[in-house]
Amino acid sequence: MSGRKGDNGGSVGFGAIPRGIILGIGCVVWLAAFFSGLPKWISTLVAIAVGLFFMVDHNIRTMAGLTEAKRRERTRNLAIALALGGMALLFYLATMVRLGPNVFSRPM
Amino acid sequence: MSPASADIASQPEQSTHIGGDVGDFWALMKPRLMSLSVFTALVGMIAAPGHIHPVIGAIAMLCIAVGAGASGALNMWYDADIDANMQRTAARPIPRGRVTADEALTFGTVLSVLSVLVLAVTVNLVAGALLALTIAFYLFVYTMWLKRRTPQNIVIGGAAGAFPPMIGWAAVTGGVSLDSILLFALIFFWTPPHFWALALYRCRDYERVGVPMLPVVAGPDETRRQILLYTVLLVPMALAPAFTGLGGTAYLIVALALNAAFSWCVWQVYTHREGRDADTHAKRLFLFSIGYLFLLFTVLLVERLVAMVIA
Repeated sequence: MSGRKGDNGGSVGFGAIPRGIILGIGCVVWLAAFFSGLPKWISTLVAIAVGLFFMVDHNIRTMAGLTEAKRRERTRNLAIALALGGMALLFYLATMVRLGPNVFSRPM
Repeated sequence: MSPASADIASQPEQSTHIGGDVGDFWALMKPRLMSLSVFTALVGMIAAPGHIHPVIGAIAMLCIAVGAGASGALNMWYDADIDANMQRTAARPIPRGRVTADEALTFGTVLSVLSVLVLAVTVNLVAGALLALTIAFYLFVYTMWLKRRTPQNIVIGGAAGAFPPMIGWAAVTGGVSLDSILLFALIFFWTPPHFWALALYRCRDYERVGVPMLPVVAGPDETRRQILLYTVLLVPMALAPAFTGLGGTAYLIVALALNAAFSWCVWQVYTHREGRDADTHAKRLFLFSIGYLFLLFTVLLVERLVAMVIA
């Protein structure tokens, strides 16, 4: 088990899932999606999912031992980060739907 | 700064304020009210003629949910002073000191602007404009102007809660039509019996904080008469969709049954005016009115979905 132990002795974050394996699988899937004939949005989603996993995991791992004020601040920051990431994804999807996947190939 | 924020800012616990949790900000968005807005907007979207891409539809629903939540947060910001003195609202995040009034104001403002802009840019301008109107109406017309000044507060202010199906409809069609106005009218005329039933048994709460709800200003008997009158207006509005083509036979049958039951509840409130019975019937009407609206919109939704599957 690669997850670090929290102050209470229990594992924190996604402690039961080895992070190296997640990163490895994520990279392989991303490379496969990117260099195969699949649409590019699939590889983009994979990259986003892996990034989100590590961000959330890091935050949960380091949450133990913080003061209540810091813990709340951390969860608020995490929520804001996720909301901003979600908004970026939302605009990406809206662009793809509205303008089509060849939006980047159009002449200016 | 509102009277609310001034009062809250002067409270001693502000010096030890450590900021709210994510759950406190979620509570600021009035999740129950938000879910009703989202549901009615969804029905408006599904019932509207035409097609919307599922991704754009999902974005529209998200924006409506966030906009509704934002207006809830702004309402809590302005009403924090009276919320603290009412049993029903004393546990809200601002009276409890979990979130400051300024945080609620910032949170509500940012979400309002974002939801309107995203809806206007990604869906269409009409839907965005209607969402902006809804938020502005709820904050400026209902919360700031009418709520503390007139017993007609929830009659006029009820329009804010009636807009979501129109927004959903506009997201698909890019406009407003008779059917979407009917959905608006249904919620608009449903609001007074619903809220006055609550006000009848929460009368003392409103009296204590000086909110001129109808039972406080005109008395319970006049409130019962007004509930009856608005129910007379509500019933045709609830049946009308069956005759404009918006609802089908199933809707007509369910609407007839629900309106009969609703009218019976209202009559019980009207005739039982004293003692514990009066409160019991008012509570029953309040709870039934929630189910009434939910079921009417559910039937519209199911009918349309079935029609889509068959087609």
